[in-house]
Amino acid sequence: MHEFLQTTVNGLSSGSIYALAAIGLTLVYGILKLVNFAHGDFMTLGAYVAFAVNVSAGMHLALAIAAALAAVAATGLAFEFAVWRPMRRRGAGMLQLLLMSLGLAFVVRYMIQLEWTGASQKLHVDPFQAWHPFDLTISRIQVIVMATAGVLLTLVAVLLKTTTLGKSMRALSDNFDLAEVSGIDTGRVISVTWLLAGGLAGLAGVFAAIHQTTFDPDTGFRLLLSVFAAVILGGIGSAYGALAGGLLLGLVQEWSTIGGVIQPSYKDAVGFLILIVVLLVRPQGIFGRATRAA
Amino acid sequence: MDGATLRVRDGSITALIGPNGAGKTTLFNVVSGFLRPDRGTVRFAGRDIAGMPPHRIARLGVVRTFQLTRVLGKMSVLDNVLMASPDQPAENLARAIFLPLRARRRERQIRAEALAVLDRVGLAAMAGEYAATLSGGQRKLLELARALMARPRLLLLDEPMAGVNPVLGRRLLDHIRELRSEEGVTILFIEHDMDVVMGVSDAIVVMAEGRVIAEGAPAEVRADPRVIDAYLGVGAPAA
Amino acid sequence: MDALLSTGFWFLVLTFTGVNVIFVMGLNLQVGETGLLNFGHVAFMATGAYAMGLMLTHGVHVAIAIPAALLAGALLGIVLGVPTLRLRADYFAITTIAAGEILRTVILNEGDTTGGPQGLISASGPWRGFNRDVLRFAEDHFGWDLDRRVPLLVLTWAVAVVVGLFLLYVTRSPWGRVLRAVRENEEAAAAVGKAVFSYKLQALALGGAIGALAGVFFTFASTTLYPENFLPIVTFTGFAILILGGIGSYVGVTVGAVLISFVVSGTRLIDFPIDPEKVAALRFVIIGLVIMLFMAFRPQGLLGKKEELHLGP
Repeated sequence: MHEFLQTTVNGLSSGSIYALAAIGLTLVYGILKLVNFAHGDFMTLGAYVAFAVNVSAGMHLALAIAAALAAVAATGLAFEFAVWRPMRRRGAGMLQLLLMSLGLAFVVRYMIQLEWTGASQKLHVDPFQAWHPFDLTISRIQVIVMATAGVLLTLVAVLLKTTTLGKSMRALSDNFDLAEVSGIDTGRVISVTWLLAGGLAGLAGVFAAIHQTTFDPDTGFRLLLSVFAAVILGGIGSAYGALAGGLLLGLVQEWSTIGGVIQPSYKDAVGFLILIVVLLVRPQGIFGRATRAA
Repeated sequence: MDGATLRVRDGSITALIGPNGAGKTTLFNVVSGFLRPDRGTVRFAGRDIAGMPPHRIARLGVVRTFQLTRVLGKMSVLDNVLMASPDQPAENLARAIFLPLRARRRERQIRAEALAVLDRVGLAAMAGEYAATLSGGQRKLLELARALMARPRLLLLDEPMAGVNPVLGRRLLDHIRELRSEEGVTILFIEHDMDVVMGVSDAIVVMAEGRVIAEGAPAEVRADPRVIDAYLGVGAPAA
Repeated sequence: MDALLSTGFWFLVLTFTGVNVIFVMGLNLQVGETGLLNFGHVAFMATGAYAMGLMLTHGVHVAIAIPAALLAGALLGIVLGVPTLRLRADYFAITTIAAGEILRTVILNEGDTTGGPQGLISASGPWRGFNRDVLRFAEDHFGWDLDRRVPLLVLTWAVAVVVGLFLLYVTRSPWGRVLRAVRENEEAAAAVGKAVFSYKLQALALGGAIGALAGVFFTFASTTLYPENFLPIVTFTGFAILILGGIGSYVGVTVGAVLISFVVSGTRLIDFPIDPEKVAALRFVIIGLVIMLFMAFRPQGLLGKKEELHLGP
């Protein structure tokens, strides 16, 4: 029981990072039919912006988190105008955009390496401070991650549920053409989607950097596959699904180590295996509806 | 689709008609194996083919075309047709590697056959072009050519005339008649143009809401009150 | 010039270029001919490399080990393909990366067998002895004093050429025509009697065997195998080669591999006024830009045919 609770805490904290990243990835996919392989590197960028503010400039972590959010949101929007919108105008196909995002991933990752070198870095967080309620170990890092992510995820969920913009986003993600003829200003919604996707990816990147204690230019890309797994678990294109999928993936990865049957070093592989199994058994995702052919 | 029972007589030209959403294309999908029926049987030449994969059904001689054409745009018109040959052993990798001479000899025969088929639908001059350059009507003809190359015994044509200009359309109709008379191919086709339906078919099947509501000779069907009620009555295409 | 830039270094770079040519030719069979977006191609190379390394370190003869390694690559293609080939292109791509990463995680964690992070040492086994014999033979009979890396360089490129000719031959056969039909439209191919799934599986398995062959030569060239030799970026660099050279073109693949190798290794010739680590990062920025710019403005690459390029729905 104790082990179960401990792994649940661990899973919720890593899962909330997946969830933050997965929401943006899934909305971009749903709305633009873009499988964005640069999303992981957006996360990395967030971590490094936070590093610049928190470590290089010596400012408070909260400020660093805000800076990461703003900077990556702006980056997401900038690429929309510089790359994706012109490509859509030219009628680029899905695979063409997917391969371009792969190129963009390289550009972002190695620009980061160019600026900050490939060495691993740390933010100013004490990794050893922890509390022990009910005999569990909850680190300060986990508290920061879960509390902030929890608040933000709730905020995003409310935004998507109640605001006109959020509803438009979900409508476009669900059925682009239908939503467009019903009079939604698609250009504006797409811009906001990129801001949201970039901002959340930046946040997820900072939290990942805190959570793992160290990070390097490959951090985001290493996480991307797990984020994809979360997106697919939740049903591609569904924001709530991605949220739930992220948390579930984090939990399952941690639970898989219970009893020592599976070594912790196989945690990621367990996530990928789940990804494959879900795709085979239920390609619309655990929370998705069985509709819409390719 | 539920409770659609119909028979297509060997050697006939049968038209399948009905309002939009009647389940005509669904029926084609089930017969050709693209959809697996929940229940029911599909008999072809005495065999139950329901639930078989599409390529096996096609190999048995049930070949379909699509309402929205599916030409292989990045391949030549000739390759589109060559590809459909049921009898090129070198489509097997091992044979392609180890028996190149036999493959080449067979390829020459198939090429002649494909050019003849293209000539028949009036696309021989386009043989070397990429299929993506064809017009909508030409694509319909190419689909027909490809289906013919597969040596069908039962040919399922999904709106073969849609988007085809009248001159080409008439030629297409002539081909359909020829196919039946010269090669004994059975034809089932979906069509909205009642002139065409009445002019070319020797039997008509009428569907509405997933059911077959009437079948028979054109004259009978035309007089059937249920048909007039369900189909011809309600804003049907001008006859 | 320092020792790093000796001719020996260049022979090694060119050998790895040849390995990349073989690797990407297998990828082209899958991506270019059949339309299978295999993002986990590195898994086939890892399979070939480790299968080879494990057999050689356990005393299996090279003549048996090479075909067995190829078979292992083909088998991986079948095991991976049977469940996943029915998936949509984007799902298939993600699944294949996941499969590759699972394989790498296993290699990393099963150190007792694979050497794990410390590497599989002396994986090329008897190759070195054979290499010495070849060099001695060349010296005794022809009086040639060859660099010790030359035999492998020649062999790798000879095999690359044979693989290229073989693939050209089979893809121009009726078999290859069906692959392209499957790529263009699976339903159209099925409607005229082609067993779509079987053809996709064949392309994945044959491409996988060729990827494994690249792994065999990778083992010969690097002697010690590490799990980080087989990160997803290897596949993505393969895609950069494919896109630059021209998807669908085997000559293009060769040109692309040489050019990308030049970007990755050849730029060492140029004396940059900046930090070497920055130069390393800059190389991959350039590769990323090559992918983006070609996809945007010349998706058919240097030598591909625009009319025959299929980039999906």
